[in-house]
Amino acid sequence: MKPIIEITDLYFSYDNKNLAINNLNLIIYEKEWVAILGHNGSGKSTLAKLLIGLLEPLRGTIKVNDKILSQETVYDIRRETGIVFQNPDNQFVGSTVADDIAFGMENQQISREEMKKRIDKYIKKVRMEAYLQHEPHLLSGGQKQRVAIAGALAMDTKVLVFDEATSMLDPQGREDINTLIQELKNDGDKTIISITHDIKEAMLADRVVVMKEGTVVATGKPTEILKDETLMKDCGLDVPLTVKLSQELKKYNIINDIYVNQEDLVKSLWEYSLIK
Amino acid sequence: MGIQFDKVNYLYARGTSQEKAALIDIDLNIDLNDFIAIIGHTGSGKSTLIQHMNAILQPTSGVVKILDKTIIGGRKNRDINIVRKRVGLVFQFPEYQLFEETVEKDIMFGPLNFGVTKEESAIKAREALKWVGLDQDLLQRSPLNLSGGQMRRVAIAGILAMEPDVLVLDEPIAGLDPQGQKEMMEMFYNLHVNQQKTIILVTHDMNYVAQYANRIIVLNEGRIGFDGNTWDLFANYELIKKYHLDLPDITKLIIDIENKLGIELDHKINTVENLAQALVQALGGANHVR
Repeated sequence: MKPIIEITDLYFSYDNKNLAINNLNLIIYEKEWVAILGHNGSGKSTLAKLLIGLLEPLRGTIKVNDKILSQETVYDIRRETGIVFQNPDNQFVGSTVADDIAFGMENQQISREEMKKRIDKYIKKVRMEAYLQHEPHLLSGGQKQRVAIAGALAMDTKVLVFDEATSMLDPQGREDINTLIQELKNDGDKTIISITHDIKEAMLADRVVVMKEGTVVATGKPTEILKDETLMKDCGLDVPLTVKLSQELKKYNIINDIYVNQEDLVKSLWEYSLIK
Repeated sequence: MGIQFDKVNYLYARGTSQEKAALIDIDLNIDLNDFIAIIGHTGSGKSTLIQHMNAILQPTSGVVKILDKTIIGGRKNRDINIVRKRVGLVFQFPEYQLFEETVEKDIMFGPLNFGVTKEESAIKAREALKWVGLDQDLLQRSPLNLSGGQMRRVAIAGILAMEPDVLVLDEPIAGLDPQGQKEMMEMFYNLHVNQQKTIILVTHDMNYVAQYANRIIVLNEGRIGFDGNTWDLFANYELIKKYHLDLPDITKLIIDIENKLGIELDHKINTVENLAQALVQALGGANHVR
């Protein structure tokens, strides 16, 4: 696996007093789906802004696709990394959905023909083709986020960052976006970084990175990380319901393991019911 | 004396081509000291309904009685301001509406507006800050330099400082992290138990509805689809399907287990401990050999 993002000894402070990012080291590999988990204030959104060069580190380096992020390279690097932000209302500039998707491409002087092709392709990808001429502000939150994703996809970047992109949506909107991220993952040509505090979203990722006080405190498979109650509680997070039920059932010797996936837990119960 | 809706209709954009019935024939009786959840899809009329509860919106037809004030649809109703003091409405993302230089001024804004003296308002601000679990040190800080969760608490304190009897909350935990959500829900529960506040909660989070609400009102296309006991709804699979509602995680897990194992469990089980015990029983007791 080839690293696409390499972060080394990263520090950042908003006020020159408190460190929002405090000696953070992280490697993200090409085509990986990494969920960055942490409570509000753990530094995960700051990290996202540093990754796309919206903030400048105090110290340390961020390498994207072998290029070190600096004032000279920031525009090149934004061609490698797209981002979808948390608040669907704060990221619209166009007067129609189509204009909005075109906006980022216009900044990169992409030809009109190519723009049209990409708008067509990605509006279909996010299943919003019926809304191309609609005004963005009249869409629901979930629809807005889908348009924002189409805009980010149209930039044809290697890396896509979702900064709590589902946290303001209703359950339907949330499910739509998670399905879409899963499809992008299955298409297999993007590296996906989803910054979240939603455990269900983290469960879908290849790898979970847990942040606390501006640094990485744990990284591993979702099935390993999410069952670690001490770690999760310590980071202001909760373990899934399946883990809690596993712990209870273990007391009665009905199962022997702690399960993160509901399917695995139910299967284990089913096996027990057969031998009993 | 609580809040009553009698055949309430509300039309949006009345008289234009965009006219739409947002509420249709709503009959509702809300008692004081209850903890009620209002659920339903985006666009079902939840926000319109709760804005009638403190007369920010007034019915196109029908009558809304809010405590001792009667609001008659289609008429000009006078002196309704007092209602807004007694029924505090916390909008979605209320932190966006903070605007004063200091936390103290922001919380004092409401009481001052209702004619409370400056000294008295300052006392109420201190008290409200305590109720939302924030430190008094924050009073002189700018609200805009606080964390998202703290800002939301300040906004809620601003409503509490008016000492409303009823607290209406529109998606109050959206966007908070799990710990923040849990703490905020516990805070509402404490206000309900210790301050005798009536809580009316609009939310998509069925886990918290299951944990805290005594009663659920389901809105569907502007009408009331269900109004009754929380667990009577969650245990009623037909209704859940009919209105495409989400279930609490524990209920989903129970149904999953039932289907795979071919056993029957009580759908009203709402704690992990009780579910484990029910499973032990259904599977013929604890295993001592393994």
